[in-house]
Amino acid sequence: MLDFFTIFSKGGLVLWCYTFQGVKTNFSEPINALIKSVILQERGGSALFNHGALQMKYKLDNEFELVFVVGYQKILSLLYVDKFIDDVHRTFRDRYRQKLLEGSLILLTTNFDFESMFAKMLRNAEETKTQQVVMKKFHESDKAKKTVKSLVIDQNKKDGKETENKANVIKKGSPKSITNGTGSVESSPKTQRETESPEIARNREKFIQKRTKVAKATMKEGKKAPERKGKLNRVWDKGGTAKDTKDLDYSAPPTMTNGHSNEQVEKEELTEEQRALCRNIRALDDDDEDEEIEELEVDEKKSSGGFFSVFRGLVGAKGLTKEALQPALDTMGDHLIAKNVAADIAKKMCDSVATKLEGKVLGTFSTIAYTVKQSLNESLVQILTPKRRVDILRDVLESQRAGKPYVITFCGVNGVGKSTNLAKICFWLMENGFRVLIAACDTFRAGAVEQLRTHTARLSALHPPSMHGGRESVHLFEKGYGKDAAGIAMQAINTAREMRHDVVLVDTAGRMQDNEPLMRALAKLIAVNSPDLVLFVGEALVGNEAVDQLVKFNQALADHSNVQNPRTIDGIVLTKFDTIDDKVGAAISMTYTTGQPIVFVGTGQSYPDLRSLNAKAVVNALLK
Amino acid sequence: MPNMRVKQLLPPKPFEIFHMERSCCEVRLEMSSSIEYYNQLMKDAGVDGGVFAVLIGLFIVFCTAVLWRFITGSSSNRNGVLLIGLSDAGKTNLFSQLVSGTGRSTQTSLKENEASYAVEGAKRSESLTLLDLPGHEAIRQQFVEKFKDKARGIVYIVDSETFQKNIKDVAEFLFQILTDKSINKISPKVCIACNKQDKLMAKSKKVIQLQLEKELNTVRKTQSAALSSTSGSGDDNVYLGIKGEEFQFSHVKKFKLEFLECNAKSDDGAKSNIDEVKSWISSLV
Ligand SMILES: Nc1nc2c(ncn2[C@@H]2O[C@H](COP(=O)(O)OP(=O)(O)OP(=O)(O)O)[C@@H](O)[C@H]2O)c(=O)[nH]1
Ligand SMILES: Nc1nc2c(ncn2[C@@H]2O[C@H](COP(=O)(O)OP(=O)(O)O)[C@@H](O)[C@H]2O)c(=O)[nH]1
Ligand SMILES: [Mg+2]
Ligand SMILES: [Mg+2]
Repeated sequence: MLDFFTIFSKGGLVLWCYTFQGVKTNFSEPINALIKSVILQERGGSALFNHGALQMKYKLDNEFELVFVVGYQKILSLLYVDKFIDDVHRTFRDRYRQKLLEGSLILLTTNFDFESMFAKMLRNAEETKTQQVVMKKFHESDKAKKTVKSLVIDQNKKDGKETENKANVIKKGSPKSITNGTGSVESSPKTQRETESPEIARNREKFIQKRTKVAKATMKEGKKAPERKGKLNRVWDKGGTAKDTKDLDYSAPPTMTNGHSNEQVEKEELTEEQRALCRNIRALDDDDEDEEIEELEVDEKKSSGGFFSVFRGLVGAKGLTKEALQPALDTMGDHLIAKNVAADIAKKMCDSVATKLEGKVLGTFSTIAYTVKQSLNESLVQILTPKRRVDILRDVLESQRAGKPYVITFCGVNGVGKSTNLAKICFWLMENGFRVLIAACDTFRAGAVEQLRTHTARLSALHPPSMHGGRESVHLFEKGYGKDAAGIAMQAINTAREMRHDVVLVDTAGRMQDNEPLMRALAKLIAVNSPDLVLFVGEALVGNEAVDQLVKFNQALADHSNVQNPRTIDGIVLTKFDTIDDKVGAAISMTYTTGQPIVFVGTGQSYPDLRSLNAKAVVNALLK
Repeated sequence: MPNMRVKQLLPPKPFEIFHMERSCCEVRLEMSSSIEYYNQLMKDAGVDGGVFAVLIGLFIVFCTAVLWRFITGSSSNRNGVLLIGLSDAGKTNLFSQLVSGTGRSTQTSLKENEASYAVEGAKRSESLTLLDLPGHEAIRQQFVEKFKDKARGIVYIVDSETFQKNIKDVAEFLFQILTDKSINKISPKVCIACNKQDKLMAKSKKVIQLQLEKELNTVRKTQSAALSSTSGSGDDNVYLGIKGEEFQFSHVKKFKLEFLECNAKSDDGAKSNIDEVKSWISSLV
């Protein structure tokens, strides 16, 4: 029961579309949401997306620049879509290969008559879930060995990046499906023999387990199960949640040692008889395995060596495979980590690039390494480019016209430079003729209020009233220590409205992301005063910690506010940018985690040391 | 044995051609050295001069071709008409109407669409290339960067229905285009197409022009006060309009600016009307 299935070009032209029983509902809105919040935000690694009651899955064809999207009701959690989308993709591509090669004009004038074919495939896929599956005995097919072997190699190479599809196919234990690389679907009804019901799936697992050393595959399955759950639950919220990170931890590729020990445990559980059976196959396999590994290693050498890869590029007009991309991606991933990008994020970026490049045909003179770098460059610039307009002066003008102050709240952990950069931003606003009120809501750390008082005094010395028509253009609103920060902020905003200040800058106490009571207080401050802009201040020195901080701040803001649409972080101030040389990775970690732009960059200790981010320069430094 | 030698000397050729594209002087220098190189090897290999003469001939032809491109290529290969605008303005719909005369349903674009466009009554050699660029904030800048050098004309598409709501975004993107240094250098014709005129609440082009003028005036102020960026280089954008005066479109001398109305969608009984856009594009050749 699919709600819709649509095929469109990356240019945005819908080529063909199926809707359930031809219902004329418009699905372009959820699909656009998918494009904007997943594909355009480089979250391509995992491919399930929830939108209201809908769940969607997509696949990119990078050779012909197509996108396949399937959507169904979330509660159905259809298991066959993974393979179904692959099959449709393959069939469509093979059928229209000639047309697709010819460019936009043909796409526009061709009528893609795909209905009957699709209907047949869908019927097959849906029917099989009700059939009791009679399996071909696993060890009977010599392809079975191959399936498992490929898995083994994957593990040995610590390759956690194999697609879910592949894993699914393997765990379904349908030996034919993998080798069915090019065959059309009608020709192999066996591939469709899959079951929906969990009992059957479980029975089959046992079945397979008994058979052979597919023990490994089931182990993988066991590993996959919780991960899968996590994915279904995943909310593609800008923030990402604390829960998400936990879920994501599951998906960490199984390490080599881990894999082996598990395997041993499983092996011991097999009965004597089965073991005998296994031994035969294993003996057979082991040699092959070694051979294949060797082959892969040779491959790896070739593709990473610059000179040889030139010729590879020259010779091969085949689409890029995941395996071919892997060495280059690993190199880039390590490079990113060395530049201080959080490890998680570096991995996700690489996954996303892999999704974008898989199947792409290389140009005559380009190497894999070059293509990967180029694509990563584009993706990084895309991450750093704000997804919305960032023109604070314009917005301040707007509220000025409306006669109310523009409120900016600063939050972050201790000692990152909240107060310092607040003063710098204050200076910049004053330079542009705005009147600013600073609200000292850090009522916690000793000396915090005095620090702001000093700043205020120095700023008003730089901009004496004589420069602004006899009116002080900066004031400090303070109520001493130990009071409720939310209340002080509220009073400050009211004062600003009366005194006709244009901007209120709210300084808050630094807090660690794990400090529950303080996080609750911050959420309250934001919920009560609903500032126009909530800025998270983070230092560029931070490494893996950045993700944790942002995720937890966002989560706390969402959890502890009882409003319907909780306010989360709107933007980032990246401080101490002058101290990091070219290790600019934190910029990527922060923007990727929140999906929010870096609004200000602090580059020193004096008032004019405030900049905006130059995405291209940062990415150049990152890939240098 | 001689055969083997010939094989040895073949590889340098592709690389030689590579260099040629860089500059003609370099090519000449390398040619003389490579002539000697070939001469030497030819002698070694015992190949007679005939083949060699043909090779030289080919080199010369190639050189001329490259030179020719340098001299004449600059203006005539700039035959792109860029469709630019915010996401959901209707660029892909307009593209589809212009190219095939039919409507298609669309999704948010991730990539450009490209097709050649034959202007009615013009010579074949004058055919233009329509380029529909994606409008999503995260990628639009990269695509404008990539294709701006090809612009003979720019169609800036505005959604007339949501214009009031999106005016700040519409103005900011237009500002970026009109102040871009290299776009100013090639000074293409620009038209602002007020799309979705079939909708009830659509603003007319008169209103859109007036409001954009006011908004651009503000954007000009805020952008000039914006912080400089981390790379250290100051912004090298062109000033929009005349310094010290309220902004008016008539102050933009570099571009021939024009406002027009259209609607690009043609289903559910609505008929598309893109005549004004068509005739504007015809005026480019
Ligand atoms: N009523 C009406 N709707 C239109 C018109 N032109 C476009 N639309 C609708 O506007 C929506 C967006 O159109 P697209 O052409 O995909 O927009 P786009 O500018 O290509 O957007 P991006 O690809 O995201 O940059 C579609 O739902 C169209 O149906 C029009 O003239 N009238
Ligand atoms: N080099 C450098 N130091 C900074 C920058 N921003 C803040 N600092 C320093 O970081 C320290 C902590 O700043 P403070 O504003 O008190 O942090 P808060 O606790 O978050 O309010 C101070 O010593 C600042 O001088 C910056 O952009 N560059
Ligand atoms: Mg402080
Ligand atoms: Mg489009």
